[in-house]
Amino acid sequence: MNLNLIALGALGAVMMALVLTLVSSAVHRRRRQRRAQRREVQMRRVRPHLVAMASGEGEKEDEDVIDAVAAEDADLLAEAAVEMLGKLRGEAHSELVALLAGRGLLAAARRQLTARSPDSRARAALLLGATGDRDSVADVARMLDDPVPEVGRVAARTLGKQGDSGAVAPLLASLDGSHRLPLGLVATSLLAIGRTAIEPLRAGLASAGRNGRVASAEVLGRLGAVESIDGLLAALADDPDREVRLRCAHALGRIGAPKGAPALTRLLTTTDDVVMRAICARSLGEVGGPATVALLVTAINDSQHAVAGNAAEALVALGPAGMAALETMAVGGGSGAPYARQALAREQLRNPPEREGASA
Amino acid sequence: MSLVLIADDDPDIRELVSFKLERSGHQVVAAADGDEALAEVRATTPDLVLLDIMMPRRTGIEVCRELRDDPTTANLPVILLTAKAQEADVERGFQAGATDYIVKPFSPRELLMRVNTALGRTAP
Repeated sequence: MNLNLIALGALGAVMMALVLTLVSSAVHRRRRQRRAQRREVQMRRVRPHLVAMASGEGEKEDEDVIDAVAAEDADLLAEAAVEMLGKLRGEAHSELVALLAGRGLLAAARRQLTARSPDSRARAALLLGATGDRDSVADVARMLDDPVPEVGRVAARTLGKQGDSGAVAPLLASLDGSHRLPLGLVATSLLAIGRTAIEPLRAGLASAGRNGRVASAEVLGRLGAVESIDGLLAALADDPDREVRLRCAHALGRIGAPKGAPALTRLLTTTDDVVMRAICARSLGEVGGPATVALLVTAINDSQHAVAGNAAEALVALGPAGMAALETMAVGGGSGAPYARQALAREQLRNPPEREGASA
Repeated sequence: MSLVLIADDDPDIRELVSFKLERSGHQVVAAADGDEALAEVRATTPDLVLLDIMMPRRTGIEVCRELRDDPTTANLPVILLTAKAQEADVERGFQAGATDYIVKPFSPRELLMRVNTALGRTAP
């Protein structure tokens, strides 16, 4: 009997706790919805005025509304501005940045970079990235090592948007540091910094950690950094890491300078590394001259599919001489014929002949 | 006063562009996807069309091609306004018959200059 009472009591307590949890969660959800609705109303209120200011046609009324919103909820104003800043450049971008700076939001964001809350640190970095604020580059670079990985990632993106070459070394270091950032993310930011990143990347190719050297080779190639060819050739010959050497071979092709052709030719004809041969074949399509045609015709008959396929694509890239060689191979039979036909078909899809009667 | 159609699935872009063009004396109609854009062209016969490329239902490239294939809109100025910035994307845009190609993020001031220039070129 006593046991039954205890069991009933326990069940009652559990039921009560469950009901309280459900009610509390419903109340909480409702509060969140109301907050989100209020926020949306404020966003709709401020956006047209931000549009007016960004268009250079802002009037006192627009400034007054923006001031009122800034006083009520500076974070909301910053969020609305960040969304819009990402879509604009030129005078419109500068107008919005001046608007935010004039209301102390940039100074506040710089202070928030060291806030206790990771959310606050990330939001601050987002705003500084969207405004291209160069004064905070060093502070944002320190966040690459943030104990919260997502904050580090936001910092990396921000450094790309800020566009200062002083961020290159910290970004490269972040690839081999204690909180390693993803290579693709960092490479994207390095690319966003642009040609001013080339000199520090050349230094990185020679001296950074393994992932830093990989990223340096990759981004130098994508930037078309002709001035880095000697460094890429040296790393292609001597870097102890295979991935670095592969990226250097790829970069030489992307840059497209004939100086790379001898090293790529040597590797295509001598290395056992299939991936390296495939990359060299493709790169030779960008750096090779008429003498390369014969070499690539041989490479189309390589027993490895990747090498043969890339050699065929390289012949397309070489222009009329390469195309003529492909056309001959396509009808001539031999193991290279299917690759020649495939490359010719792809080229026709990329560059279809003009339709008859199409307007100019 | 010219009538310009802006087709973009981003309401911020529609609002920014509309505001800038209206303040400069143009009339503006807006569409949020490719099908709506074609319907608006047929209903309102604008003097110029601004098209985003990545839109629901029909892309800006597809809309541009349809406009060029139709004799009644073959000469309508079409400006592509898009985040697709690679050389191949620009090439595809001009091959589809675009009059001009503006990459996002964009400058509203520059956009206005290009709109005015494109309208000026087709003025009688």
